[in-house]
Formats: sequence, structure tokens, C-alpha cells
Amino acid sequence: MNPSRDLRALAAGALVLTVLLACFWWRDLGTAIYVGYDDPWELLKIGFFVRHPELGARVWNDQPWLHTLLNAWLCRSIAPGAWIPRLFTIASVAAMWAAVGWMGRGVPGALGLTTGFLLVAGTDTGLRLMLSTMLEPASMAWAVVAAALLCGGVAGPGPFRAALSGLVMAAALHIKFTAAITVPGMVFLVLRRYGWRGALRLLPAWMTGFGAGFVGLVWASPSFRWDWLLASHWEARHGIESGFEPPTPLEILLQVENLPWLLAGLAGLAWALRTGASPVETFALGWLAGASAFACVARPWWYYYQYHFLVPASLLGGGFLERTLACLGAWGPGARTEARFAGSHGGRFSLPVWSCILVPATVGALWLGFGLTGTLRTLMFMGPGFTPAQPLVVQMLREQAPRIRWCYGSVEYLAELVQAGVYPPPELLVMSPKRLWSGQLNLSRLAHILESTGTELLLLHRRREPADPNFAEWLHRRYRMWESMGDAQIWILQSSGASDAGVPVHSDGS
Amino acid sequence: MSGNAVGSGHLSCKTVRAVVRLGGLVLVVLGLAKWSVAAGLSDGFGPESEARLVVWRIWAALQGAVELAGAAAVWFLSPRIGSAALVALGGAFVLWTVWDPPTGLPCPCLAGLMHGSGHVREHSWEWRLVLGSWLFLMGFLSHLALNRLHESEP
Repeated sequence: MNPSRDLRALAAGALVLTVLLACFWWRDLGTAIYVGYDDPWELLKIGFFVRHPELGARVWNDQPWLHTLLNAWLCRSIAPGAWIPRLFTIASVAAMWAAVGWMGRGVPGALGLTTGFLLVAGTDTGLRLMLSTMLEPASMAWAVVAAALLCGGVAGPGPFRAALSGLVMAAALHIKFTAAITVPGMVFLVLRRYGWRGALRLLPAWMTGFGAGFVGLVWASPSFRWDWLLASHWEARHGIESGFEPPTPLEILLQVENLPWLLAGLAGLAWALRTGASPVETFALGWLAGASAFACVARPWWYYYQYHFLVPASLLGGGFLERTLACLGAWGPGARTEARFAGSHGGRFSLPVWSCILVPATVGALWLGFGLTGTLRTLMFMGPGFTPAQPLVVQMLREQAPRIRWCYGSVEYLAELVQAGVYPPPELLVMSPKRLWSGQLNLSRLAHILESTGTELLLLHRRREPADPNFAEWLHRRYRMWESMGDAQIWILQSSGASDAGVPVHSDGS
Repeated sequence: MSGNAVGSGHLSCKTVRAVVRLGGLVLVVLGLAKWSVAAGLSDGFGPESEARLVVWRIWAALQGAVELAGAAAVWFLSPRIGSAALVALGGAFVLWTVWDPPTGLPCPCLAGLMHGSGHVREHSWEWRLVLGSWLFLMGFLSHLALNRLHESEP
């Protein structure tokens, strides 16, 4: 063991933790409903589980349960609120950067890790996700920790550490299956470090931990159905509604704000391929391969999926930039003497002068112009006040909350439901577009569920459910419109205890 | 080992000069673009009022002249002076962009370059910062490379 290198890895995690916590407190994100793209979604699931833990088996869920169960348990044990899942993400991301430092055993060093983190944080998506309650950053983070447990440090792992790595990987997959895109990185890294024989020696212990963890978490989950977890995503690509044309991965990735990490990552990639990759570079290359394969098959490829490329490319870029500055003698106490070590083949390669100047200058300038300013702008528009929820709608839902059991909301109004503390019936808790596109739910089935659960309140977007003539006909028979504000319509079950007293029924209501 | 690697002597020095000259080339483009605006060949998206337009054009011509002078220094003097010129001009660009003078002085830093790209027009502040910091970093890192080469010479 090398204590100074281990401390450096811990320092990387501590730095990330400090920066993210500073953002958390500065913008008062503990009570903010909306930071990451799907925050209201995850908060709704967690809030539901805090209130109705016994109804999990009835919930249709296209994601594994661990994140929801863990955060709901923490909320019940400590105190409910968005701050718990948000701090969980921050802690996970910090653990990831510490794990990368430990995995690399000093390469990249402190500057490389810091630069890599700044490249990630210098994008709107990266910063949002690291401060969000979403599944993506936490699942990736624990997958990286699993890889580091297997390949980090100077000494190889014994059976216990290998089993623990398998257990953590199982947990990462139970947060979100997309963590699997890091698996090629882990495989490359294990083969690079231990060879085929060494890898096979570790496999039984790793598989034991993984199998026990995976099966144990399946057992602890309220539901685990492959047709929900995988088929719904796969089938959705065939049923994407007409008129919705999602951008391609390339269109999303090739934006100006992404130029700093793309350029740095490409330079790092070229360098790693030319000179032989370090452990962290090996892992990042495998991760990029996994992310590329996923980008080829996943449709729609949501905007925040760029995080799959952002982190590994930033790891490559951070390491490369550190080397350029070391070659120029600008960084590190031993930089001048180490300047020619650069490659991992006994100092055979040095960096070309032009790349030592041109790449850091271009990446640094683009990061200052678009990364730093974009980050500050993103932060300034984060906080409890920056929510898509309409205050009047929230107020009206809160008025009804004591008198109702269920309130269904169109996908646009999840933030309102979270803020008002009202929840849909379990069967309709997760209403992702993919559920409709895959055909696992249609509007007549939706109406049936609303009727059978006696859902008292509906908060509908006028261009969603009510736009369908059959649904509209059913809606007018069973519900009466209470209020209409812009696109939002609130409907009350005709035979419910919910009250519209004192509030005028809108003229176009039934 | 390739001849232009750090620490490989004379050829590396030539490479640094070439990199510094690339910065100089950018200065030439910036300077000529501003002169074209000043000469009225292009409206440069400047202010609308006639009086302010005159001031703006004079200012663009002056800035263009400074940039062309900087480019000349980069091209024809030693790389050390060239890198210093890049640091000075890039630093001035950054300061101007960040400071955003309250005196009402116009800043035609990207004058003549905004026609082609809507993105540059919409994000002119960011692109000015990118341009300034790029010139600054090119000069600063070239300076470091020259120091490093000087140290490694036998």
C-alpha cells in the first residue's frame, strides 16, 4: 500500500464533495424540487414509498428499486425531503472520484482528477446530474467504485474484496441497469492488470458477491419483472409517438458547450491509444465502448445520456491535460524531471510540443468561455424558487390533499404533485412516455385504473389525455372540471369527497 | 522519438515558433476583420446611431491596428516576444470582456466575424472570452515551453 497515493485519492473525493456541498448549500438545494431533468419523477416515487410502503407490489416500475427503497428508508428514518436523495447522489459522485484516484494509483494525479471533475462540472448536464436525485449519476458512481475495489490500490484483491466488488456492482445495477455500460471498462482493467488467469482466479469470489447481491436485492424489491425493466424500453423504440423526433446522440453530443470535454477527451483518447493506456485510461476506454454500444441501440437517447460519455471522456481529458502541463514543467514538484516519462512504456514517448500548448490552450479557453460561465448560469437558476410547478395549482392540490387518497397527474405536472404532497394510485405512479409507447398501457386501461382505484383528482394537460375523444368522453361522464389554467385542467371525481366549494367551476367544464 | 517532442532541442523551438505564429495568424484575421468594418465594407452589427457608429468604427480601426501590430511582432520577432505579445493582447481581451467598461466605450472585439454564425452573434460575450483566453493561454504556454527547451539544452 502507498499511503500518500491513497490519501491523494481520498483528497480527490473530498474536493468533489466540498465543491458539490458548497453548491448544495449556496443554492439551498435541500428543498428544491427540480434540479436534474427527472427529479420530480424520482421524488414522487420516493415520497410515495415513504407514505405507502405496503403498496410497492402494485407499482408498475421500469427501473430497479434500490434507489427508491434506500432513499425512502432514509427519509422515514431521518426526515422526509429532497435533501436526502440529493445528498445521496453527491456522496455517490464523491465516492466515484475517490475510487478513480485509488484505481489510478497516482495517474492521473491531483491535477488530472481536478481537471477531469471541472470538465464534467463545466457542462449543464454534468452539474445538474451531480446535484440531482436522478438514478444515472449514482448508478455509474457505484459501478466505478466496484471496478476500483477490484483493481484499485497497489495490492491485488483477496476473495473478500472481490466479493465486495461484485456486491457493489449488483447494487449499482439495481439502481439503474445502465450502469452496465461501465462493465467493458472493468473487464479491460481486470485483464490488463491480472491477465486471463488472474481474472479467472478472481471470478468465483466476484460472482459470489454479485450473485448474492443481485438475488438479495431482487428478493427485497417489491417487483422485478423483465417485461417492465427491459422490454418496456426496447419496445418503446417502435412505438414512439408521431411528431416526436428525438435528437440523435451525435446531435446532442456535438454542442458548443460540450467542446471542452470532447476535445480534451479526444486528445486523451489519441494519447492513450498511441502510448498504451494507464489503468484509469483503460477503464475509461472500456466505458466509452459501452456507452457507444448503448447509444447505438437506445432510442430515444435522452438528453442527459451524454453523461455516459462525459465522465469517461473527462477522465481521459483530465489525465492528458495534466501530462501536457507536466511536460511544460508547469505542474508538480517532480514535473521537470518527470516530463519525459509521459507514456507508460518506460519513457519511450514524449508529448509533441504543439499538443502541449494547443490542446490545453483551446480546451482551457473553451471551458472558460462556455464551461465556467455556463456552470455559473446553471447554478444561478437552481434552487427552491426555480421549479416548473405552478404555484396556484400546487395551492389548489394542497387544499384538496386532506380529503383525497389519490391524485393522478399528466407527465408535465409531476413537480406539482411532489410539491403538494399528493400521489397517484400505485399502478399509475410511474407514467413514463415509454410505458405508452411500448403499449404496456393505453388510455382505456388508464381510465380503467382511475375508475377502479377511485382516483378523486386529476391534473391533466389539455393536449395529453383529454385530447383523446374516447378518454374525453369517459372523463366528462365520471369527473367534473374544477379549474382550468392555461394547459392545466383539474378534474374532480363526481362522487368523491373532494370539494370545489368556493371555487368557480370553469365555464367549459361539464 | 519524433523531432518536435519536448526536450528535443532545435526542432522543438521551431515548433513553438509555429504555434506562436498560429496565434499571430488569428490576430491577423481579427485585425483585418476590424479594418474591413472600419472601412465600411461591412456593418459589423454595430450601433445604429450615426454618431456612435463613427466612434465605433474609429475604435474598431484602432483595435485592428493594435492586433495587426501584435501579429507583426509575433511573426517577425523572436518567439519570446511573440508569446509575450499574445499574453498581453489576450489578457487585454479578457479584461475588457470581463470588466465590460462602464464608460460606454464600444467593444468591437469580434467585429466583422459575426456575419457567418448566428451562434457567435448570440453568444458574443462567451466567444470574446474564449478568444481572449485562447490567445493568453497560447502565449503563456508557449512561454513555458520555451523555458523548458532552454533548460533542456546541453
